[in-house]
Amino acid sequence: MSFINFIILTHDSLPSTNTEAMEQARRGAKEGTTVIAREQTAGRGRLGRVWRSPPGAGLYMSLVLRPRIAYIARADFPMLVFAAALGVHDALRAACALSTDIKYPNDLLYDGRKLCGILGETIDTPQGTAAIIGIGINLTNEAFAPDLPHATSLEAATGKRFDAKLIMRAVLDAFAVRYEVLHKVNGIQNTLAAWSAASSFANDKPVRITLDNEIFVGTTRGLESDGALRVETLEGHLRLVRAGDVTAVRFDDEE
Amino acid sequence: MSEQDKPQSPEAATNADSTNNQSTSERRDRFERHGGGRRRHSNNPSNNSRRQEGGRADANSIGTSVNMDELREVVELISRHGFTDFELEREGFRVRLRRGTANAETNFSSVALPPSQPLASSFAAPAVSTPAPSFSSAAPAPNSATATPIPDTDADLQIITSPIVGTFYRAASPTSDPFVKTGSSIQADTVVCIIEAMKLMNEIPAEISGTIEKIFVENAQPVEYGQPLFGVRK
Repeated sequence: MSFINFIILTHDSLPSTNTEAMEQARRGAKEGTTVIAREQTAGRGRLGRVWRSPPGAGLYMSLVLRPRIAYIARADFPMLVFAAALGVHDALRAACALSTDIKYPNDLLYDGRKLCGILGETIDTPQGTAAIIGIGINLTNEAFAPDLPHATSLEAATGKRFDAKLIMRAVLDAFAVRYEVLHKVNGIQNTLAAWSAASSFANDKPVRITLDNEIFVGTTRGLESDGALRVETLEGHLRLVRAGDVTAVRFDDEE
Repeated sequence: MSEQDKPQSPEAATNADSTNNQSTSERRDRFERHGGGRRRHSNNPSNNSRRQEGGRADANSIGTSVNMDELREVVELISRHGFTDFELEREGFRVRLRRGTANAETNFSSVALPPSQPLASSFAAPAVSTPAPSFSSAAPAPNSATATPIPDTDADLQIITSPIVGTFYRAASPTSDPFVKTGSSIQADTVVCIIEAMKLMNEIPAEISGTIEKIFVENAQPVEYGQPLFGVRK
């Protein structure tokens, strides 16, 4: 028995699965409601950026969650994106025999290139706060613009074409396990430990942090108990990163 | 900063890299947090720290009473996250749990480790086990949310505060219109802003109705728990 009961709503074409899932949640959709589309005509990334979503080239899905707030405090909702990244990581191993890396906090990489993006959003609904977890996985290289050097697809990584619904099912099953962990005793601690074990970004990774008004480089030193990334700067200061862009770098040849 | 600053990630195609440059919210450790609760304050004393939302979302799990098992879960949650103050109010009962010292300092800046101190020992500092502030649990003074200076002294102005720590956005995207402007009329369910916390975009509803009179925070700035965001005229 899965920790979540999934209800799958399949569309041929939608502007955005996250927007549709939000609408469903506002109208009272239950936890586990999952919206999937063959294509998105206005697929979204963070802050209104576009997620290119041509028909059949990617998995475009959004999941409605209603975390039990007695177990996961409102301020801990960012843990949902860590759990989602772990879920996709597990699913790709199970369904495609693919070992992926997780870039802080929630991008899936293969061979240093982005394979999957996750957009987490929370909204207020009459039934309480709902979280929408949007997952976009590049199934083929048509999913992204050809001039994107840092993107890849399941097809490029494995040489096989995978069915979107098969991958969706694997993602939901794997996510349900990670989501259940989050609701149990020491759920956050265990989730962050699992994330750290799955991500090369957790420890000793040279990174560049790009903030709104500042860029600095340093070496990652694990996660804080709330999921913030610890970065030791070249000057030996420890900084906690909760925003901004994290990029892997080499110190001798900084990209 | 924008996508254009990142040559590997051409504009309007984020499949390669959807992360972007945000203001930092570094070194802003957990403020006084309330499990699921959300505190509003107004300068009007009769209206002070009224709690509104806390009961709704978790009503399914806690209901109108709490048994010992659930209370244990709550206590565990609190100690795990270093809350200094937790209050849960339901019809017919109320529980308040407090810990920590009254005058512990909160440090907003990045932590500079003394050169003589090995990094490892700092990392090993217990996150929540002691009331004394360690680098990972700067314990704020109890009631820091209500003690946050309110930038306006107009007694009739109601303040919408930030329910979480994160980065404040006035619009859904850099090219969208802001959710609200000065003079906007709002209802309880009007979305007034987005606050991003570790890549999770949180839509923030007004929870009060009236007219936006003041906007206290600039777009893309980091905000603290309980920090005033908007002043609303009834």
